[in-house]
Amino acid sequence: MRPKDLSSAAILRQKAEQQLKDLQSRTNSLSSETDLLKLIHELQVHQIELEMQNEALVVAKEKVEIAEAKYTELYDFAPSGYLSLTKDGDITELNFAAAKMLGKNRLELMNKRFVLFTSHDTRAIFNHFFDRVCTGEEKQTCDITIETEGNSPIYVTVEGIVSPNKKICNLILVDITERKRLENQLQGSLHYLKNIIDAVALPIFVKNETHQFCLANHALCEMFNMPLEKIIGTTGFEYLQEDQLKVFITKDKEVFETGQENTNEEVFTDVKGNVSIIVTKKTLYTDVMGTKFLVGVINDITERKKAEQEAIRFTEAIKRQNAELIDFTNIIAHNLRAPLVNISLLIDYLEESKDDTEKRSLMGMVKPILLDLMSEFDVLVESIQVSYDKKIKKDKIILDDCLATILKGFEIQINACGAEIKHDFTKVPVLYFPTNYIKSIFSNLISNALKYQSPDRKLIITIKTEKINNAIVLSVADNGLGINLERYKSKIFKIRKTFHKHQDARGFGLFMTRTQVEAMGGKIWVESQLNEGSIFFIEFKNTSI
Amino acid sequence: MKTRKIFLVDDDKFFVMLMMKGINKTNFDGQTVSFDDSVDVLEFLKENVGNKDALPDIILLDLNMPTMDGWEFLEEYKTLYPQIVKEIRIYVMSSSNSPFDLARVKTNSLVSDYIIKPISQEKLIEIISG
Repeated sequence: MRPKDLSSAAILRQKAEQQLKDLQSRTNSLSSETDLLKLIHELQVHQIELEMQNEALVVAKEKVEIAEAKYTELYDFAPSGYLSLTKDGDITELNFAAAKMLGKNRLELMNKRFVLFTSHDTRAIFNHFFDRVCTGEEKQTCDITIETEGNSPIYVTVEGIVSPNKKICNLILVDITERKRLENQLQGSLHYLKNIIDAVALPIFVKNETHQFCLANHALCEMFNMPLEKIIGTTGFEYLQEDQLKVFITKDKEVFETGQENTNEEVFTDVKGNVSIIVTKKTLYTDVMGTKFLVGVINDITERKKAEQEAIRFTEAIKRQNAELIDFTNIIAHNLRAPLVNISLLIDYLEESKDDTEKRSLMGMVKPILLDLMSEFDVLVESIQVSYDKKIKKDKIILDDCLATILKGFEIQINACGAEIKHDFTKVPVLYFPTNYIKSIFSNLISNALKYQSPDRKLIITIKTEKINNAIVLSVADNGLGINLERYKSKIFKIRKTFHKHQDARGFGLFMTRTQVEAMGGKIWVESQLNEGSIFFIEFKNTSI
Repeated sequence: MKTRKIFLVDDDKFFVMLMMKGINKTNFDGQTVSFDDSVDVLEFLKENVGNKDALPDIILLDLNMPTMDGWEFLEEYKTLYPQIVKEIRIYVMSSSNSPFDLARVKTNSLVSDYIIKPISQEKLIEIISG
C-alpha cells in the first residue's frame, strides 16, 4: 500500500504546484483591489483545506499503524506456522508457531534452509512440493514430518504458494500430529477388530442400508469362495443366486425397518455351486452419526442337517423294520400255526378213529393241509429274502419289452374276456430295477385287474410311467370292481388279506408286490372307487444303477 | 324244544371239516352251519334280527380271515346287537396266543371267551352245553 500512497502524494504535490502557477499568472494580471481580496480569501480557504487534509492523513496513518500491529500480531501468534522462503529454500520470515515447530527461536532460524528440518523419508516429498510451488501459480499441498534434535517428530500438512513477484514462497504449516495419532489409533483398532473377526470361525459381515457389504471376515470369504476385495462394496448381485439373494435382502429390510434381531434358515450356493444350509442372525447397529448398519453372523448347519436327516432316515428304517418284525411275528403266529393246528387235530382224530373209511378220509386231508402250509411258508421265506436282499442286482428294464413278455403269459385270459390293455412308457421308457421284481409286479397287478374285472363292462387296463417330482411313478389303472378303501385301506398290502369274494383270491400278490417295491426303497399306494375301478401307483426311488 | 344252532365262521376249510367232526362227537343234536366269510354271517344276521328260529345260539368266530376279520365282524355286530332278539354266545377262536388279542377280547362284553386253536373236545363240550 505504501508505494501507492507515495505516488498519490506526488500527484497531490504536482496538482498543488500547478494551482500555485495558475494563481501567480492570475495575480500578475490583477488589476483591482477586489481581485486581491478575493485572492487572499481563496488562499485562506486553501490553507484551512490543507490543514484538514493533513489532519485526515495523520488519522489514516495511525489507523494503518494500528492495523499493521494487529496483523503482525495475528501473524506472529497464529496457531498455524507461517513461513516465507526464498526460491533457494532459505527462511526469510516466520512466525512463532513455525519457529516452535522447528524447535528454535525466530532469529536463529533466519536464512536457514527449511528442508533440513524435514525427516529423511519426507524430504523428497517436500522437495518435489517446493519445486511445484516455485514454478506454479496454484496452491500446493503435501504432508511431511519435521524432525529436530531432541524433539519428537511433528507431522504437518504444508500449503504453499508463490508470491505475486515470484521471489518468495509463502508456506502455511498445520500440525496434524494429533490427527495422525488418532488416525493411527483408529487404524490400529480396525486392524485389531479385523484380526479378531478373522479369527472367528463363523462367517461375519456388515452391510449398509443399500445392502452393500462394508466388512467381511475371513470365514465369510471362504464361505463365498471369493476374495475379500471382490465382496466389499457389492450387494452380492453379481455372484449370489437370484432367489437366494432375494431372501437375504428381504430379511435385511426387515431388520432395517423394525430394528428387531432376525434369525433365518436359508439355502446358500457359492460361486462354485456348493450348496449349504445356513442360519443367519442379523442385528441392527447404529453408529454415532446415526448411520444404520446390519451385522450378520452365519452358522453353517449343513452337516448338522445332514446328520439330522440321517438320524430321521435311520429311525424310520428301524421303525419300518420293527413294524415288519411285528407283522412277521403275527404272520407266523396266525398263518403258520393254523395248518399245524389242523394237523394236530387230524392226528387226534386218526388215533381215536376205529373206522377204516373214516381213517382213509382223514388221511386224505393230510396232503392238502401240508401243501397249504408249504405254500404259505414259501411266500414268507421269499418275502424275507426280498426284504433283506439289499444287494440284489438292478437290471436295465426296457419297459415296452418287459410288459410284452408278461402280457404273453396272460394272452389266453385277455383274449377270453376281450380286455383291452393300453400302455404309454414314452415319458420314462427305461427303468433300473431287478428283472424278477418288475415282472412279478406287472404280473400281480395285471392278474388282479383281470381277476376283479366288472361283469358289466369291457375291461380296460391302462399302464403308464411318469416323472413326478424327480421320481418315476408307474401306474396300473383298471375299470374293474374297485376296492372299498374305507374298509380295507390298512390291510390292502398285507399278507393273506383279500377284498373280494373270489375263489382265486389268496392274499399273497399285493403283499409280495409291496415287499419288492419297498425293498428297493420305493412306495406303493392305491386309489379306488367301488364299481369304477382302481389305480395302483408305484414310485421308484433312485432308479439309476 | 327248538333245534339249537351253531355258526362256525372260519375261512380255513380243513379246520372247518375237523371242527364239524369234533362237534358231531359231542353228540350235539342241533344244527351246525359253516361260513368261510364273516361278511356272509353279518348279512344273514341282518336279515334275521327278529327271527329267533333262524338265529344261532353260538357263534364260533375265527379272528384271522381275509375279507373281514373277526374284529371287524365284532365291530359291525355291536351296532346290530340291540336289534337281535336272541341271546347269542360268541366264542373267538385264534391260532395265535397273542396277548394283544387276548386283552382286546377281555374288554369286549359281547365275547364269551377266547379260545386258542386247537379246541379240545372237553372245551367243545363245555361250550355247547353252555
